[in-house]
Amino acid sequence: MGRLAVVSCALAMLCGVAAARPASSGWYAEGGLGAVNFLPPRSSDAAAVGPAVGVRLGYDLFSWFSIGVQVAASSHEATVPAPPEGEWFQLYRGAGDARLTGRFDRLALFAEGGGGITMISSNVLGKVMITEPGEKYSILFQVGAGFEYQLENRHYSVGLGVDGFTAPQFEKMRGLDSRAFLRYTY
Amino acid sequence: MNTTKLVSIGLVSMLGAFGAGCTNDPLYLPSPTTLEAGLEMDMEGNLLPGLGQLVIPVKRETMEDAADRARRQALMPAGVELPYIQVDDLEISIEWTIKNLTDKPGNAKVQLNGANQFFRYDPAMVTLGMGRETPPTPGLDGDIPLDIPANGSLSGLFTEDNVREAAIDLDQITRGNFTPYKATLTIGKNIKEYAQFEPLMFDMDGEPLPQAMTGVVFPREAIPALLEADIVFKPDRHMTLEYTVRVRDIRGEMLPDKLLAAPMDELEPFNPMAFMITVMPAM
Repeated sequence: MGRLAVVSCALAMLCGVAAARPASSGWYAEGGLGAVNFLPPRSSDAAAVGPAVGVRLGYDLFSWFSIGVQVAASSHEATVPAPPEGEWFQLYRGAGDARLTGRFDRLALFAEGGGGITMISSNVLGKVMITEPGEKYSILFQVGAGFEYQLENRHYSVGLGVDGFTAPQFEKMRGLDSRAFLRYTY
Repeated sequence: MNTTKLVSIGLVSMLGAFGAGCTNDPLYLPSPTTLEAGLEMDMEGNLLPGLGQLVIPVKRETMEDAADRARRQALMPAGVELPYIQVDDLEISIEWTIKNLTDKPGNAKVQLNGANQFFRYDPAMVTLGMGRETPPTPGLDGDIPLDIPANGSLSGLFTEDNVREAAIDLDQITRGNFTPYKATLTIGKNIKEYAQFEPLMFDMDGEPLPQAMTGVVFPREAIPALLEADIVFKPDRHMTLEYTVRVRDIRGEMLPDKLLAAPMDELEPFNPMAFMITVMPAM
């Protein structure tokens, strides 16, 4: 075990410090596609996993810290007791957030968190009391993490991210938004 | 076009798509009660059906809407009254689920009737002849025999097309003086107008007489929407039926936010007259 540690340290010293891959910094836009899956106990019984799309606009205040706003939408089949059966609803989310980034050559890891508002398109989940009569909006909190891979062109990177969110007004609806995204930095 | 412009156009397009997605979202009105039938019988030994009634709540007519309706009413021919909610203002469908509570397969029928802002149609209030061979008065839709497995369930729906057809049939029967047979057996969901008949009269034997046209023509915009869904559930053994009315507000801003929980003073009063036909031999 000790020998392995010595070899690892020696290799690390030989490699030296990697030069950061050139990446643009400043205003950026991200477009992502993925899926939203609801978490137990209640919301996962009432709605199925569904496709999601989202965009994020942000600004790098520092190379390691950025702020942004994002909007996302996902579509889900309601799995409430019939009737109704086979009906779909949409969940729209808008939030402001902050992102911490650590860059390791071509790869960058990030963690993010923020808050905003979410809107549900119909009252179909009212049958299982997730929404109250007339309730369409909820506060939204979300935290997440992911990584980016910087392409040869310094403006572009691709990545994967996962955000967990909760909507307290919708009976504490909780979900995971997983996405693959393309980032363009102006 | 450079990449920056392309990215910007893509972002604006996606935001536009989000906005467009919010229009015409359906809303769901659950049945107030679960209909249960197939147990109780009447004096003649016939099983009593389960009856359900759900009124679609609509907001009070605003001054602007009333003024606009009055302006359009002035252009209508005499004898044609414009409704507040027209047949194309709401798209309605009704989804139902039947559960057979017995351990034997059974049979059930689901009949749709209803009311618009002017009239309520109930086939039991309409007599179309005195002869023993006079067929029963039809409902507006449904009445198809359905097989329900033992301890099983079956789901189905009256589609938006079915309910639109029922709304037009209802107006043709009540204001257009069509016989229920003629109205329900002809497809009218896409009609642009229909012509009114003289009220139905009967001969000395109680047989209906031929009807002449009055010359009054109802345009499509004068046909009211179905605002009350009346469900008649007729199983041959102990079963339950649950239903949900699904509404898409095409005109927009017609449905109150709280739907069935909305305060009454926010809602348009709904007092349709019961429609009746009785056999009155002509003198």
